[in-house]
Amino acid sequence: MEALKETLKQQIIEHLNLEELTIADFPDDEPLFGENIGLDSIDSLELIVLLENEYGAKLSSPEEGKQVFHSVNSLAEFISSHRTK
Amino acid sequence: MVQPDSMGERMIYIGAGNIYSPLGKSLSENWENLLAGKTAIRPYSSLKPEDPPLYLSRFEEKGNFYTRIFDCIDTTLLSLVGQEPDWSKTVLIFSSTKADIEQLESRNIEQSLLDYTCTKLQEKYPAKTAITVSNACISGITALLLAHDLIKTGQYENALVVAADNCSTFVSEGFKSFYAIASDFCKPYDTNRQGINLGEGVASAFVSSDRNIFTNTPTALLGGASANDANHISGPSRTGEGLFRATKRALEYAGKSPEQIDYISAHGTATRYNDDMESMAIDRLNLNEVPVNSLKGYFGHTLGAAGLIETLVTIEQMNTNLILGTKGLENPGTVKPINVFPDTIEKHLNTVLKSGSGFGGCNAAIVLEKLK
Amino acid sequence: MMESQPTYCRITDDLCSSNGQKIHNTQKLPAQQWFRFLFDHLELEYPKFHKMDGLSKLGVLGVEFLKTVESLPTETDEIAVVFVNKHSSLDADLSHQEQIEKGSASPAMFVYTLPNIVLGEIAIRNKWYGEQQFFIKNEWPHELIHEYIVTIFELNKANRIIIGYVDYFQEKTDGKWVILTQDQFNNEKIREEINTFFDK
Repeated sequence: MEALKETLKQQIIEHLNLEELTIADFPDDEPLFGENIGLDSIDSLELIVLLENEYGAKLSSPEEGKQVFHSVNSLAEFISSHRTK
Repeated sequence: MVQPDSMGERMIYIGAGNIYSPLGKSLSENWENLLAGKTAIRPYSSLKPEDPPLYLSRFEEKGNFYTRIFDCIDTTLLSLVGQEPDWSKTVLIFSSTKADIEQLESRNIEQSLLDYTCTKLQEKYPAKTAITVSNACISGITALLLAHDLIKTGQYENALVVAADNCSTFVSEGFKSFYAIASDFCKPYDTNRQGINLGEGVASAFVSSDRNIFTNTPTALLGGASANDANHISGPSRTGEGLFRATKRALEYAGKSPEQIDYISAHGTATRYNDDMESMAIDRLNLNEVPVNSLKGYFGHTLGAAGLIETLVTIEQMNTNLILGTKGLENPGTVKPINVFPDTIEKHLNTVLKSGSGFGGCNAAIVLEKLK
Repeated sequence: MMESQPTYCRITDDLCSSNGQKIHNTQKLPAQQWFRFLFDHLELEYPKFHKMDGLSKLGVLGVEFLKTVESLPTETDEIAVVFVNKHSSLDADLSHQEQIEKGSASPAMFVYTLPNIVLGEIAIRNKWYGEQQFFIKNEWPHELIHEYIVTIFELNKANRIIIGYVDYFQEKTDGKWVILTQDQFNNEKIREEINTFFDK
């Protein structure tokens, strides 16, 4: 799980072009859409693409993303239970 | 009130409009089908077979992009006295977001460029100047605004305004990744709206300072404005900031107050955020009582052609004192209440607004008035 | 009274110049790194910049360089922006097309497949709510641009206008900007200077 979280942080930084951020800026429970990390609506759609391409994990709707994308913790949990690759 | 400018009372007219869409090959055919409540939207199979069908307003035969545009413009010119304007005093304005973008599938870069299409138009219709405007989904309105402003300042006498966009996999796959596509007929302003239906089509019209160039009575184009939300590149402003500012400035520019507006031909894409945003702007302008409709349920969202197609249908509505119902609407449900209805109503229409909003946070509005 | 001189900016693959100040791309950095270099040079703090496509980065940088010379208000309707280019958003278009062919479109790329997104990025960055227009033309349309500026000032649509040529396609960068007031535009010498600047 810890390794997955580290990989995930790196993928988020690369995929969403968060050049000013490093893995250290992502505490596992920090809200992704909060002030520090500051993702927006396009980022959440990009996260759907990332989950599908990297882990074969499909969201049923963008609304489901609200809970799944809360933090690195919730993302990692979703991936562990939904991944197909 | 309008500040009197150095051009004084130069009036600008719009007429000779034509629409070539999957709903009809001429303005009259489109209008008949609109009155009959028909839609051109049909389900088509998706690029990926496992995906739900795509609801599109698409030409049955894929045919030539240029044949349709030329056909549309030729009919517009037939409605002018002498059937040909003085091209040396005319600007040709082409409105499109992606024109012939499907050329990219075979990597025909040159043919996919917007100016390639615009140049082809100018070769056939030798206007003094030809330019493409590309401002996402408000392109058609900004093309009319540009035509108005260039003529108002006395720099041209006429403008031939042409708008065209195609239903492409390029665009549908993009909107799909945005979860902005409905998996059924679109429902503008409805509680259960879930997104857009894409459409394609062509429209053309003539704008002039010479009322006598039109064989039929034209409509006064009083001008308007564009404004940016300055908020987000894809999400519409929650407060309707840009649309509020564009409409406010358009009314000021045209010298009209909100009470004088008889009808708003709005954008109504049927995405949750767009329709809510429009209701916010309408509410802030105290236009809640004014009848509003969206034509997306008939034509789909024709992107760079939408602004012109919908303006021309607006003129037909003014000429007949009818306001078409919003097709697809069952239970109105926007964040602020607005005056939308599913069936056609009668109302004397004198002064009306046409507005639109698009990606990039852009918004525009123009004011039209019936001539005595 | 003498009118002040307008502010210009030019960005190509090798050079960024703004009213006499010159920055050379001595390391021959590829476009995206060159944009990052200019961004760092301006000491901007704007994480959104890194998410933009090449065309938007170029457009935003041009306006930021104009702002190093002229201080411009924020929260205003009074600054109009008109951009022109040849390739529209073709650079992003091709990336999007390739992603479709690979079976997965990216929303963050798709949003940049419209040329006017750069105008939105500039509006957001500066809180400019004013008139905006994007023209596409293979050659610089100097007559039409002149006519467009006339409409902005004569019809009181803004008191300043930024005019730009902003083209970015397959690593090839071509950006030119000028900001004008009505007084500056009324000066025939300045108008000629602008024509020369954009025509060459």
